[in-house]
Amino acid sequence: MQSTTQAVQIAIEELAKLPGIGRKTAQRLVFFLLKRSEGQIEALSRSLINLKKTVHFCEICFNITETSPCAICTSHNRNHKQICVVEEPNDVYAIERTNEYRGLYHVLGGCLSPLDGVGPDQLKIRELLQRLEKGVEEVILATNANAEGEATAIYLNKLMQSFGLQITRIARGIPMGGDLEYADEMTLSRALSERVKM
Amino acid sequence: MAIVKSEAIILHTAKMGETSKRLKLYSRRNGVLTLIAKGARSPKSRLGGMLETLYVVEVVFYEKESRDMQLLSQVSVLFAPKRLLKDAERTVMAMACAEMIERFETAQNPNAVIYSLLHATIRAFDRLEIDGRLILFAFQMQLLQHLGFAPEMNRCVACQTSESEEWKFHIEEAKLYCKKCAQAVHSGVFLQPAARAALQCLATVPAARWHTLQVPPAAFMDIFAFLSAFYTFHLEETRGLRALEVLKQMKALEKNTFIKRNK
Repeated sequence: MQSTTQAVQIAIEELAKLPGIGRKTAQRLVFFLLKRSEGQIEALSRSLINLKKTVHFCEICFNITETSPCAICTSHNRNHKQICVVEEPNDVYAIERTNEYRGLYHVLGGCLSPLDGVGPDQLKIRELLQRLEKGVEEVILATNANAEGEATAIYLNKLMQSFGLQITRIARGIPMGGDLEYADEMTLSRALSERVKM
Repeated sequence: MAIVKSEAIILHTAKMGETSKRLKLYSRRNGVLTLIAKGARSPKSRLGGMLETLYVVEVVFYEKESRDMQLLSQVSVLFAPKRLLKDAERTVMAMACAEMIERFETAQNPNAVIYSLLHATIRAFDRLEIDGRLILFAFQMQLLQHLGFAPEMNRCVACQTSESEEWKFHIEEAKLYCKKCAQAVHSGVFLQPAARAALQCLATVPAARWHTLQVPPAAFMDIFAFLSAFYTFHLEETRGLRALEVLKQMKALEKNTFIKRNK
């Protein structure tokens, strides 16, 4: 594109690498940024550089944190005998928003995905097993409710059998506020087969 | 733009954008297809629960020839292997079969026989009484037949005998030798008579009768070594199958954990 300068072109290409942003959106963002003051642009670039410099993975739970161990792992107000296993750091934030769970977390860094070559060696499963030696009483498997997430939960359950823990799986079924009429048959059949006694 | 309806098996799913899914399917009438299911990962989606790997589905999509990926409109599940998906090891083995189909260039085109083989294989994996390894081996042997690479296992190519205490299969030449004739053959995979007989059965017994297959445990290693070597040499596309590598990692970790816990 000869009508734009090289700097603009590079900025568009870099922004277009972000998820959910195509070339057109990237172009709009670049022209928006060009209209901002130099100070605002510097603040944005500083925050991005700091992000990479200061944010690390917690050495215990592998959630993202600025201090390792993270605030959740070192908190005295949390139940250290309960670990909730999730796939990604985003899932920790989703569960924290509920204000229901007061235990610790373990972020696997993904789930078993045989067709993408992701196996136990690429996930933090060994680290989870090591944590279980230290007085943990319950593990909650909160992997996604799809084939890969399910396979991960089943595999972890099998690995943890010899630890003598209570192993639970988050419930699956109809979403809150959803009408039965609009639920797909697989979700509905799962909800029926895993119904709970009232 | 045409609206197309087709029966298909979901080979692979991947996240796309914020809430969409990219699906790779093996369709009975169209071969390998890539479809986009918009919004399928959102909890409100009616598609989400029906688009899992190894599901047999009927899809309706908008076909535009100029596009590599077509847009999914409707889906209904014809068969969901629920029991299979409750066993992580079997799931990975079934995914290895799906990965083979995904990788073969020859399977990209519609082929009703290969489609039926994959469909029958998923159904067999869902029957937990059949050993998963046998299903994987039978799928591999029968896929070789359909692709025209079937190894000749009936008699020794040199002396034509069909009886021997031990057999040797020359992988590069794809020829079977009896113990006597094998002395002049320098490379190859050794097969015990039970393994050779099992390979013959695996290649011919239809999927509906896989539950009757009887293979002595001692023959499993021979069959595994033979199929690995044969596939690696003759079918480059299957080199380094990811699903089988993941299966190896899973078994190793299970074994290590078991040893550690029982010390």
